[in-house]
Amino acid sequence: MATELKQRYSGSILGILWVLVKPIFLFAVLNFVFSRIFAFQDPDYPIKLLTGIVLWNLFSEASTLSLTSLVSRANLITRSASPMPAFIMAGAVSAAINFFFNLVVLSVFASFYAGFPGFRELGFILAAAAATLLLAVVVGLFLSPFFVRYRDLNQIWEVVLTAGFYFTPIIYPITLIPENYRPLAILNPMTYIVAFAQSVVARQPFEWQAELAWSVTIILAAFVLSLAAFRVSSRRVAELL
Amino acid sequence: MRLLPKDGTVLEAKGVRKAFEIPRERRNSIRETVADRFRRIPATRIVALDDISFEVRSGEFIGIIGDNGCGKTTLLRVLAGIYPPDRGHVAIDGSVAPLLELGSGFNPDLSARDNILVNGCIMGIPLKELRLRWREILAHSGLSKFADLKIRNFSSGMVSRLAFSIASFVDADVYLMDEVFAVGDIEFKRHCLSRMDDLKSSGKTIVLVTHDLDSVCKHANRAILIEKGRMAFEGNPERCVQIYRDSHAKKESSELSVTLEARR
Repeated sequence: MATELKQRYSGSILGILWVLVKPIFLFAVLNFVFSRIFAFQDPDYPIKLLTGIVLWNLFSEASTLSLTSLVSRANLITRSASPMPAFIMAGAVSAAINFFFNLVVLSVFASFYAGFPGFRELGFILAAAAATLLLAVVVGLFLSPFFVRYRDLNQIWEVVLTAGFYFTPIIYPITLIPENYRPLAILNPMTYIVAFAQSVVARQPFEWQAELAWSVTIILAAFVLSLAAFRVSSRRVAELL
Repeated sequence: MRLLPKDGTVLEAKGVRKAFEIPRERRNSIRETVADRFRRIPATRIVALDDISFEVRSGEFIGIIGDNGCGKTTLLRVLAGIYPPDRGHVAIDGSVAPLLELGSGFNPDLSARDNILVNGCIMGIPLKELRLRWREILAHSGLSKFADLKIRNFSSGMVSRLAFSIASFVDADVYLMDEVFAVGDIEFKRHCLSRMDDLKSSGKTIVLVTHDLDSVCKHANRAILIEKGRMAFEGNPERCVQIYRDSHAKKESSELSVTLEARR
């Protein structure tokens, strides 16, 4: 895992700084557009936006890395009977390292709004991050054996991620989703996880406990299912690499 | 995995068959797959291994020889559990060290030290031991000065020396080796062979795939000749090598007579 991080950023002058620059830049642009141009009234909007971006960034990186993990470890997989699920998890976990840097920035930023997160808040944020990571691992377990066969899957996944960014209440609050579409929001497990983390950071009460519980249940069930699916779909991976 | 008979057999392959579907043009993306729906690509089915059965007893040194592309490497990969066999089964008792294409598993962007950790792991050295002994491994290859240098900057000789010194720290019951000394010079080969003799005398089991027929004669207890995925001979190494050489001599002479015929 550490090796992956080193590998990704070694040789770039800004090094680890890139991890921070990307989400902050995205945040600055979106914050300007929605606070100034669309003039959202919520005074906590910026901190909620940043929370959403940081969490989505974790999902997007972790799922992409776990999707490509088998192909990027081809030299190991074709040389020994490797524990392939471990590679997928390592891919996801290496994204968590970036998340920790982002979390520091988020915490500093939060101190200008609702206040620096305490142990309770940090604990909740980490729980939300853990659920996000698990969802990314599920994606990796389901899709990475197919990425070995179909190498353009990551481009399709990129499109899905872009769509997901807008379907998840990151740049808009969950309450902006029209009532008749609201039941569909549960189909995106990230919806209530992001909403939960946002209300934790902004120190506001969280109204969707039941929906959050459902989201987590869905992720856990999908994880069990994806492990079973991976056992079957990964059998011939070594030959195809 | 089936249990092995308790007569000292550590490795057993029974009726192993492995075939690959190789499309004439491989479809590597969903786009191509969808686009090709109406244009059937004929797939060539290559039977890489067919009906391979043999047993290896503890402490034996088995040499596997044969032409390029006859299935030797596939066999080793099936034994190592990398490829699942289509038919038949493979059973191995004890720990296995797959030493396949040494050095090719290195990651060029990582330092020598990190590569020792990663590669040692796939060869079956516990990570805890690697953390303690990586300096020793590096010293053994004579590259102590280059611990933090990226493998990218190593010469190919340095790479193979490093790979072999990792391999020689592996402690397993069964060693599966593929062309371990194909890349090195004479000195390197001598070093490898003496290391294999050490392993053999300490009761380890070795399965070696190689083109180096003289080493098979000199060091192996038993040899297996594979021809087009099937076992052509199993037994005494000298005889095995002789049969292999004869078959090639025959091929050559028949080719020669064909050309002579053509000239007439």
